[in-house]
Amino acid sequence: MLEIKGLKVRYGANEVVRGVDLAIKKGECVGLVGESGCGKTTVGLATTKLIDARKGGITSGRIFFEDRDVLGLDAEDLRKIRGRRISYVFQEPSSSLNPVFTVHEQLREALPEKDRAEKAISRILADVGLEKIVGKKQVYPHELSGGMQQRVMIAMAVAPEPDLLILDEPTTALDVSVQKQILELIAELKEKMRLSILFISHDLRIVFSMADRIEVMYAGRIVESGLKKDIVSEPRHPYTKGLINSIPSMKNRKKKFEAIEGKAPLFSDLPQGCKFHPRCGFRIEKCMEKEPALENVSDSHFARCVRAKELL
Amino acid sequence: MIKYIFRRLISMVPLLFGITIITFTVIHIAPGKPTDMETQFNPKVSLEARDRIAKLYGLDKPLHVQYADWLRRMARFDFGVSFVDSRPVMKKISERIPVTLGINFVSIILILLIGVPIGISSAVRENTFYDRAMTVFVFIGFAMPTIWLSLILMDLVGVRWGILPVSGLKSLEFERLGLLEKIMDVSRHLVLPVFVSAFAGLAGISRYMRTNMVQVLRQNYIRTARAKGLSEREVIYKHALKNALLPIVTILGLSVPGLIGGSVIFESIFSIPGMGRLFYESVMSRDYPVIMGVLVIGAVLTLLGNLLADVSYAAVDPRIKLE
Ligand SMILES: Nc1ncnc2c1ncn2[C@@H]1O[C@H](COP(=O)(O)OP(=O)(O)OP(=O)(O)O)[C@@H](O)[C@H]1O
Ligand code: SF4
Ligand SMILES: [Mg+2]
Repeated sequence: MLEIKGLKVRYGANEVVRGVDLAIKKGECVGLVGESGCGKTTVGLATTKLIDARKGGITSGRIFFEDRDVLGLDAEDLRKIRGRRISYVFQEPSSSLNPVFTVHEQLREALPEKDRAEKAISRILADVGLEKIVGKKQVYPHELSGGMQQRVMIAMAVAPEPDLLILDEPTTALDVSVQKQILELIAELKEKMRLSILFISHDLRIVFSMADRIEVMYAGRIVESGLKKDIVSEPRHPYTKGLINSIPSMKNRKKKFEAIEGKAPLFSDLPQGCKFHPRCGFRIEKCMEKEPALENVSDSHFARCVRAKELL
Repeated sequence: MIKYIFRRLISMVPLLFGITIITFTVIHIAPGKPTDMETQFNPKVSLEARDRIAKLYGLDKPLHVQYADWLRRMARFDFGVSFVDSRPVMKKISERIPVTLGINFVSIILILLIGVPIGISSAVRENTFYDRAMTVFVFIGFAMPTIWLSLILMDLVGVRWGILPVSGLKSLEFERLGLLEKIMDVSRHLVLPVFVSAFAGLAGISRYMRTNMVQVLRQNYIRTARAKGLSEREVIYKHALKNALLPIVTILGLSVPGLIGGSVIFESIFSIPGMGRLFYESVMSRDYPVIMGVLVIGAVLTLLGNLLADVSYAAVDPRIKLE
């Protein structure tokens, strides 16, 4: 349904998405994980050309949504996809809602022009469990808690019954207990509305709980890609292994968890060869020569590492 | 809300009290005396005569007694009579105030009507040629001294081209004109003063609007609005504009003292019989009661402007509740 090929995005002098391929099939939930700043949000925004034109833009690549070339669409046709067919839930609900319009009004806008009936709005509010609170019309975003605000964002996103939902760290700004409720809500809506989802997060645990397939991103590129079971049980890229090891409470409960050493490189100063080599414990001479390609380790499993086949 | 306004009004009283003490003192210790005007250049007036006049006005008493006298009269809303023509101060001011308020009102409307769109369009086209050109244009208005601009315009438009009158509010034959012609006549007289005062104020509002708008356009909720599939028009003129306009309300309320100061200048230049010119004249002739009257009215207007700024901000911004 969605297919991204060779996507490159530039902000100023930095190329922050350096050739990303990503596909989402109907009804599938794809998780996109990686450390902060690796370009996850940028990929999500680029999908409907939402990159702030004053700061940067898509430099190459193609994006197909149901066989339509998104990058070739004019503003009018793009609007018919944005929000209607592909919709978003962003990380910080408190700053993502307009403070001077009522929740009701912002929700109404999310509906297609011809279908802005009160009934439709009440139904959606009920869907996200907000009928009691926002049923009253004069409620502004600042009067709601973070969890409630995120429910509003979700309501806005699912209101037009989109095909693809892009969730960009939908729970990162929330308390742990609220996180769980929101994830349950998303899972419930996904079933009910048969949504396809791109789930962006730096938290592998959450992605494991939601996604069917997982794409691991590092320094602007996908470094490992596979079904959830592939990634969980036999990660092939040292970076993915590092991410899994840094989760405190998974199968390695007894071992002490450890964060990946070092920092992600700056886009203005990327290393030669494999972009992960300065932090990699498996590095060999060859790693520093040229950036490895994303290669098969099985039918459904790919890794961008020269030692992917020997590491297990 | 009503309670809040009431409390604010009450709290204005001690503030006004303080303001009058300071201004009263400053005015009275400033060099020059009201008696100078009538006596200085007249050799026939003896020293005793001068003292007699001073006594008549109560100027021989100590300053704090004079202030107490003034305050006692003020408590009865009696501003006293002018030293110059013995007419009640209240009457002199109320004759002059409508002109000043009217001109300022028109020029504020003009500033908003021109400045806000300039600000918005500059912000939307941030850092383009258009944006830079507008910046230069409004800063010319900002940097150009009012007096200089006024004199240039009076010379060009009024004297050389003779298209517009350059002084006063009415032509000599005003009384003989019909109603429509009277309106036209006053309007023609007002073109230059209003233009001058609006041009100077344009930079402030349009820059402020541009800054607000640029900042608002960077906010996450603007991205949300775009992601919803709203048109660029809705994104800018609905979602961004309302947020960017809110602080303008405050600026307007706080601009009262600047407007009063500006009125003194352009009313004097264009000989417009408003409160600004009255103030200028009364300062020149050390007409203490009139000076104090104008200052009190000015202070009240300023404080009311502040209050209006807060109240109207709370009225338009749902996040603000007045306590
Ligand atoms: N508006 C912008 N202007 C300039 N650079 C930007 C902008 N947005 C993002 N970047 C840069 O692009 C890179 C990728 O950012 P992006 O937001 O896509 O990362 P991310 O993986 O979503 O990170 P996070 O977990 O912090 O959200 C970062 O290095 C960031 O500094
Ligand atoms: S290519 Fe080399 S440096 Fe890069 S992840 Fe694989 S082993 Fe590590
Ligand atoms: Mg992000």
